[in-house]
Amino acid sequence: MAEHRQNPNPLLVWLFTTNHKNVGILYLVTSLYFLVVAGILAMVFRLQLTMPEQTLLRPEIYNQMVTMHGLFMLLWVVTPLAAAFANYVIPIQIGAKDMAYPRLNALSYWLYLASGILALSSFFAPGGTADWGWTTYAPLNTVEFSPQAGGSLMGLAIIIILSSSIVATVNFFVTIFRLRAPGMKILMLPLFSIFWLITIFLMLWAFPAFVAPLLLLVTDRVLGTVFYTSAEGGALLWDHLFWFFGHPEVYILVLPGLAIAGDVISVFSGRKLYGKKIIYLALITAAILSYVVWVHHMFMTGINPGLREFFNITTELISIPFGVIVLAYILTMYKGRIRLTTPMLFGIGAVALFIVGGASGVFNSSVALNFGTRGTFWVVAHFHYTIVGGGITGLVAGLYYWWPKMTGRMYNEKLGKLHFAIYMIGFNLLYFPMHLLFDMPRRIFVYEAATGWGQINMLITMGAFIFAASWAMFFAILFQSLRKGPVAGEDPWNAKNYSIEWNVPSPPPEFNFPEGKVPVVTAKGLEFRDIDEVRRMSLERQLAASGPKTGMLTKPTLPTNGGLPTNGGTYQAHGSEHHGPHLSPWPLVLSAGVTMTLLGLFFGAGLLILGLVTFIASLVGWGWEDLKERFHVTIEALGETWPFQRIENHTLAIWTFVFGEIGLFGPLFMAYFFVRANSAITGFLWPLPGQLHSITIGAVNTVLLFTSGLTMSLALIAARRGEQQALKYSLLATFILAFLFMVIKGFEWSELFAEGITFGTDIAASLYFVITGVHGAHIIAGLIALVYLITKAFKGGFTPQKHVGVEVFAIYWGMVDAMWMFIFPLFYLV
Amino acid sequence: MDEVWQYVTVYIILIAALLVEVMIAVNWQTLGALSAAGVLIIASIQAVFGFLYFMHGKYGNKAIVILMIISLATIIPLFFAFLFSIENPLHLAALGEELH
Repeated sequence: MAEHRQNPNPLLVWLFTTNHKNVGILYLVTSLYFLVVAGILAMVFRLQLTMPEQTLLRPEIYNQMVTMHGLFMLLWVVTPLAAAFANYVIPIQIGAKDMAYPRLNALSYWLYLASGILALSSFFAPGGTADWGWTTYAPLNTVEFSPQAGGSLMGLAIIIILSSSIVATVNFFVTIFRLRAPGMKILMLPLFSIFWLITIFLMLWAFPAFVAPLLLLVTDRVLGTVFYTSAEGGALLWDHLFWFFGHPEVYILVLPGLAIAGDVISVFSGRKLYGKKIIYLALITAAILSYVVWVHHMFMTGINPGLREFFNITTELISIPFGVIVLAYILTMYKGRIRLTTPMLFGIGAVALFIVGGASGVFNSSVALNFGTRGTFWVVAHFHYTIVGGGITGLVAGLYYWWPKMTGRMYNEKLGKLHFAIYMIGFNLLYFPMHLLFDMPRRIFVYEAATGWGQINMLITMGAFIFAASWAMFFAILFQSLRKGPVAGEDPWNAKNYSIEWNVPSPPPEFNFPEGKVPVVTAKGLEFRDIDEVRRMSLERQLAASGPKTGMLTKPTLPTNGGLPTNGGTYQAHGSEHHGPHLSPWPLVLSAGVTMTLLGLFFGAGLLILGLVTFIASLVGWGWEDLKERFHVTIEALGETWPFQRIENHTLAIWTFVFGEIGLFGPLFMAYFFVRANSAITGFLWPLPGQLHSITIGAVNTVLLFTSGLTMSLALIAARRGEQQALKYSLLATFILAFLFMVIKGFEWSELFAEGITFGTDIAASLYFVITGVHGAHIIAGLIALVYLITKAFKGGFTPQKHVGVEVFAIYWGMVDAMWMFIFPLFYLV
Repeated sequence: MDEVWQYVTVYIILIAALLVEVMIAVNWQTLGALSAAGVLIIASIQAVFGFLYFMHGKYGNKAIVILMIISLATIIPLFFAFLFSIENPLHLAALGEELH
C-alpha cells in the first residue's frame, strides 16, 4: 500500500490509518475479538444452567455475565462486524476511492474500540458491572437495585458506541448518496449496499433515540435525577424509549447478514436476484414498519388494550415483507446453476435459520400467545434464531465471500464445508431445544431438579460446545488461509458482472482502482476511464443542471469543492491524482481522550485531567491539520448523486446529523410530555410559568440566541459575497451572543442550586437540567466550532467559491435555535 | 428585497412571536387551557421559520425537506404510545399504590 511507502512503520500505519479498507479490517478484527469475549461469557453461564441446582456462579456474577453477553453481542459484535464489510466493500461497490470523510471513519472505529474498552473495564469497577439484563429495565437499572459504579460506566460506554455509530451513519449516508460512480444508479447497487443504506436510515433515528433514555439513566445514576425512580416517569418511560430503539435495532442487526445471503445466493446460483425491485419494496416496507411494532415487547406491562391490538397487527404485518424477501431468495436458486461453495452454504443456512426465527416471531406477535411465552426460553430461542441465525450466519457467509478479496488468499474449501456442517449442528442443538423450554423463565440462574428442565439444558450445553468448536475451527481456517492459502486472484467467484469489487485486484490498491482511473457504468458494462475525462463529464453535467437559477443559497461555482474533505476547491486540473498522507493521528488521540476522561470519572482525577487535556489537544490538532491542509485525500463527487445533486457533501453531512438530532431531542420532548401528563395524575404540582424560572431571563436568552441566528445568516451572506470584514464581525458577534447565552444559563443554574433546587429535587427539575444541559452541550460544541471558523476567517480561508464550512455551521446553528424554540416555552411559559 | 433585509425581517417576526408567547404566558390565568396550546403552536411556527430561513431549507434540496418530514414522523408513534400509556388503568393503580 502507498501508506507503507509513506511511513515504513506498519504499527503507525494501523494506528493512524484513515483508509476505508484498513478501517474495515480493524473493525473486523475487533468485532471478532469481542465476539470471542461475549461467547466465552455465554459458555460460562450456560455451564451454570447445564444441570439443576448448580453452584458454579454467584447470582450477581451470573446476572453481570448475561448482561455483558447480550449488550456486547448486540452493540459491539453484530453491527460492527457488518460495519467491517460495509467499510471494506461499499466504497468499492459504489465506485468511490474512499469514504466521504476518511478521518471521521477512523474516528468511528476508535470510538468503537474505546467504548468496548470502557465496557470491559466496567467489570473491574467496585461492585462489578451492569447486572440488569441487556434490556436494562427500570427500576432494575436504578442505583437502588444496581448500586455498582460499573453500571454507570456501562451506560457511558453504550452512549460512546452509539455516538460512534451515528458518526459512521452520517459518513455512509454521504458516501452512498454522493460518491457513486458515473452511471451507478441506486437500484444497480448490489444487495449489500442497498440493505446497508436502509440499515443506516434505521440507525440514523434509532441510535440517537437510544442515547436519550441512556442519558436519562446515566444522570439518574450519577447526578441523582429521578426519571426512572419517580411515579411520573418510572418503568414505562424506560420501556417505551428503549423499545422504540430496540425494535429497529433488530433489523439493524439482521439486514446486513440477510443482504449478504442474497448476494451470495445470486452469485452462486448464476442468476440475477429474482424480483430485485420487489425485494427493495419489501425492505422499505419492513423498515417503515419497524418503527411501529416496538410495543409488542411491552404487551405484559399493562398498557392500554387498544394499543396492544394495534401493535399486534403491525407486528404480524411485518412478517409479510420478510416473507417476500425470503421467497425471492428461494426463487433465485430455482433453476439456477448452483455452486455449493462455503459462502453459498452459509447464505442458504442464514435464510433457513431466519425462517425458523421468523416463524416463532409470528407466535410472539399475538397478544394471547405472548402472555404465555414472554420471559421464557422460547423467546431466547426466537431471537437467537433471528439475530444469530439470520444475522451472524449471513455475516459468516460474507467473511468467506470477501476473504479472498481482503487478503488475496483462498481458504480451504473442504474445511469450510466441514465448518458449515459443525456450525449448523451446534447451532440447532443449542437453540432449537430452547423452544421446548417454553415454561422455563429466561432470567433465572438456578432451577430445581423437579422442574424437569435438566435434560434439555444438558442438550443445549452440548450444542453450545459444538457451536463454540465451530467458531474455533472458523478462526483456524482463516489463520491457515493467511499463512498457506493459495493466491485468490481478482475474481475467484466469477462475479465480475455482479459487483465492482470483483473487477479490481485482491486486495485492492490504496485508492481501489487503477491510478488516474475511475469506474464508469455504461450500457456495455463497467469501464475504467481516465479521471480527467470523468471530471469533464461531471463538470458539464453540473453546469447544465445548475442553469440560470440554481435554487441553492450557494451556487455551484465550478470547479467545485464538493467531495474534498479538506483543501476544498482545489480542483485537480491535471490528469493524475494528488493525495497527501492517508494517515492522521487525531481520530485515535481524540478517542483516547474520551476514554481516559470517562474512565477518570470512575478511577481517579489524574486520569480525568489527562483525558481532558488529550481531548482538547486532539481538537486543536484536528483543526490545525485542517487549517494547514496537512490531510488531503482527493475524494470527488464525480458521478451519480441522486437525490442530492444540488447539495455539497459537507452540507448533506450536516443535514444528516440534524435528522439524527431529531431522533435525540424528539424522545426527550416525548419524555417531557409523558412525565408532565402523568404528573397531573399523580398529583405532582408542576411549577407555574414564572414560578421556578424567570420568564424575563429566559426571554432575554431567547433573544440572544435568535440574534445569533441572524448574525450567523449574515456571516453566510458575507462569505458568499466575499465581504471578509463583514464575515469576521458576524462570526465574532455570533460567538459573543452564544457565549452570553451560556453565561446567563450558568447564572440560572447557579441560582437554582443556591435555592436548593438540584438535579434530583423533583421530576420537573430533573427534566429542566437534563434538557437544557443537552442543549447547552450543543452550544458549547458550537462555540468550539466557531473558534475554528473565526480563526480560518481571519486567515482569509473563506472565499465566495469556498465557504462550505460557514454554511454547514449556519445549518447546525439553525438547529440549535430551533430546539430552543421548544425548550424555552416548555420550561418557562407553559 | 435584499437578502440581508430578508433575514432581518424573519428575525423581527421571530422576536414578535416571542413577545406574543411571553404575553400569553403572563396572562395564562385568563386564557386558561388554551394558553399552553397557543404557546406551543407559536413555537412550532417559529421552528418552521427557523428551518426555512436560518437552516436554509427553502434553498435546499427537496429530498432534505422530505427527510426532515420523515425524521419528525418517526417520533409521532412514540407520542401516541405515550399518550395511550398515560391512560392505562394498571399503571394508574400502580401509581396510586406508590402514592399511598
